[in-house]
Amino acid sequence: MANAPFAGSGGAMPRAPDISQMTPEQQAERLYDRIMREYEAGQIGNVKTFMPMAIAAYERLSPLSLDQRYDLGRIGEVGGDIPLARAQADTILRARPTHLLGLILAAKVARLEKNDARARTLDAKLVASDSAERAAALPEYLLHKLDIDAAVAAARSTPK
Amino acid sequence: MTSMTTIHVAHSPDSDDAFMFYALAAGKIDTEGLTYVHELQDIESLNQRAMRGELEVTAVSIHAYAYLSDKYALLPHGASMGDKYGPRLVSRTPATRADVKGKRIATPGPLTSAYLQLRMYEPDFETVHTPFDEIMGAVERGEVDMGLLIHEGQLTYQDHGLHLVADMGVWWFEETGLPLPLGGNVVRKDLGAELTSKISRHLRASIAYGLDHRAGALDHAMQYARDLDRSQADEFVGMYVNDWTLDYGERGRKAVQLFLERGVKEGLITKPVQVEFVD
Repeated sequence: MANAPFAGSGGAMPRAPDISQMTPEQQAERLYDRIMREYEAGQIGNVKTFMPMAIAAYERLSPLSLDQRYDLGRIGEVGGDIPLARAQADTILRARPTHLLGLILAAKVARLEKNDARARTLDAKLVASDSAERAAALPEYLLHKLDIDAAVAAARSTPK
Repeated sequence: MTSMTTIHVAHSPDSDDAFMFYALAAGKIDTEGLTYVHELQDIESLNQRAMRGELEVTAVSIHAYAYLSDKYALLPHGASMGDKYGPRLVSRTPATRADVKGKRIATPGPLTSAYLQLRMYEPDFETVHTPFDEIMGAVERGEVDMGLLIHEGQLTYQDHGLHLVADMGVWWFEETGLPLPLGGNVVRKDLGAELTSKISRHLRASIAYGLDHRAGALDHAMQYARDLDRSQADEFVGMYVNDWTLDYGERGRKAVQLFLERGVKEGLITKPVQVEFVD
């Protein structure tokens, strides 16, 4: 019934934010999350739809932090914009050559480009840099811990 | 008359706006030395950015124009008007107008025309301003009692098992006999008359090109059609790229004026509005 008490979902989906109160950073992050959800659901058409909005949202944040560059690069990666993804990976690694998110993104780009040799080199560097970089405790490592854990595990299991 | 050659033109990521801006985005028309940089953002964010005067040319909600008329003028073309249709109020279970009072409702933003229309329809409800693309999900998950849908959700809510409570365009027509003004394109007044006139010509030419080359414009618009298939996208574009898009005309201008006057009269718009069209 329409007048039934408000049920609430309690499900896994995040509650929709208040659009009138969102900062530019929150707008960009919302679109990043939206694109990743669509990608994981296999809705590539929706990924493409939200990409221009998301890219513009990140451009408005300029200058971007390394964490934001990783997010933007992931958007490029899942949306098929390889130059965008590569540019973010290059910029991250120029700023910090052993940055774990930079190495992960660069390896993803190399695989998209079918450059297996470069991907393996980046994987090896990721594994070698893992302990020291995690000790640096960069905030973005905590934010993307699942990505890093998965990438390091995959890199360790990749045949040399 | 000015050294400015780059114009930022912003619009919302839906298929009717994409259709209108297709020729401009795809370089199909002569822009007489001007370079247009396109920006895509949800309409509430564009309204807020226009309030800060950030954009030279942008789509805005007609509601937002009430607070922008000192900085921006309405272009005579590019209007989104609903002819007995408009934003749709939906719920998870069947409901009527009497059920709306006091409900918690997801709306696409405080400056949107949809929000103003809903306030006119029923002043008493709890609003949850929500990004347009998350409204349907918020209703489905029960985070809100009802949702006010704009863009393509107006055509797809039934696929999600939701029920129509009211169509704002139908209600507005019953009240006034006029089409429902939703959005328009505005140009910042400080650009000056000559540049404004040039921009106005280009935008009109872009819309006309889209109407004359419907298949190509629709291909472009499909990028922003989300859950719609091509025939639905064609239908959606046809709903909002219509007789009023190339020119508001007398009836369209009357509808805009009445909509805003009524908002002022009902205390929903907090300042008198002088509507100024570029001709």
